[in-house]
Amino acid sequence: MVLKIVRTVWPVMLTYVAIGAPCGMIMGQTGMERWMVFALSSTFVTGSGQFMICNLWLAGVPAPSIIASVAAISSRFALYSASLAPHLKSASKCQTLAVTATLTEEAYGISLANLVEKDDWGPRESFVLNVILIATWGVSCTTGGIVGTVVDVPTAIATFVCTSLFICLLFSQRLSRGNVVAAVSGAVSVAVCKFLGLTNIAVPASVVVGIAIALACDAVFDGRGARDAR
Amino acid sequence: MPVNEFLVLWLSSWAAIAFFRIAPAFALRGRTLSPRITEALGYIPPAAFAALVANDLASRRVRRGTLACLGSLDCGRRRRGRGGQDKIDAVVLRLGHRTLYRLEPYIGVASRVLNLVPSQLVEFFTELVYFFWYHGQTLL
Repeated sequence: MVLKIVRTVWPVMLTYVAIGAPCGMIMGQTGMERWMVFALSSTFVTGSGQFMICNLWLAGVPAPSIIASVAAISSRFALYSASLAPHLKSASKCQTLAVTATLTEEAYGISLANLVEKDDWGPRESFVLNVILIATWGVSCTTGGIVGTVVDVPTAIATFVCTSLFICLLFSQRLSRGNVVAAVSGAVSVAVCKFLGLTNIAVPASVVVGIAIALACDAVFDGRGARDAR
Repeated sequence: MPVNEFLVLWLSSWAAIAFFRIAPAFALRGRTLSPRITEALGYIPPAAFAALVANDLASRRVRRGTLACLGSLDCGRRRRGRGGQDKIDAVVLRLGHRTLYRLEPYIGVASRVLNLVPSQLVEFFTELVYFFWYHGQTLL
């Protein structure tokens, strides 16, 4: 089973290496020891949260503000978790806990697609997928933290790799009117949030806006359809 | 980073992240959801990934890098393509690409002077329009 999942996720694992190594280097630059880099990266498993902790720490921001910022930027996980819930009906409490506690963005995208489309994919497979990705991320970050003290590796590539990964996950979604409306509204809302200075909550707030607009659009079209039918 | 400060940061942030990851799944677990809620949950993936892409593209460094990479790939394809006109197109597009970046700061300044549209928004939309114009040309 592990090999089968590795064959599915190896491209994501490669991107995790490309993103994790620079992330580990940055964490090393903030004065974190190797065990700290490993502990943080294998429990957070969120590049944005880790980058944020490092940047705010280096900027001398107080700990409560850093925690609040990380919590705000990670609130998007609540939406992913809620979205997975209907597909975990057959899972036990322990399995639900295991799958959701180890959730990452990429694992969420892959798991959700497989839970919907494949009969031989269940919570167990989702958990193994999460563990493989967490292990890759933790090892990559720690290796980056160690190597970063010796070799100068360009960190700019991490941002491009991350963006391309999200583009792939976006285009793997089903093409429907509602999905297109949700995606476009979400993207426009991010630009508006950033313009208004709401950088930390831009993503979760935009997801909610995207969903609301897609639902409103559906309601309008469904209402029009019903009127036409009458 | 001192160990006790790291522990406070790590454990508190991790608790918040774990709460966001676990709580909604348990709150909705085993419940029969209305079609409207199910529909709303189905819109999370496209909205989330589009928001993440837009969030990354709104960062100037990523935008420039991505456009530069796409521009290089595109011009390479044209050069290998259908003869002389394609080469000219490639050069013109390349020059247009560079000219636009040169004009970008002035567009930003102009908007600040007018105080109507913020410069970062002008920059964002300029590049968005340029991106689609550029690739529209290539596809056509």
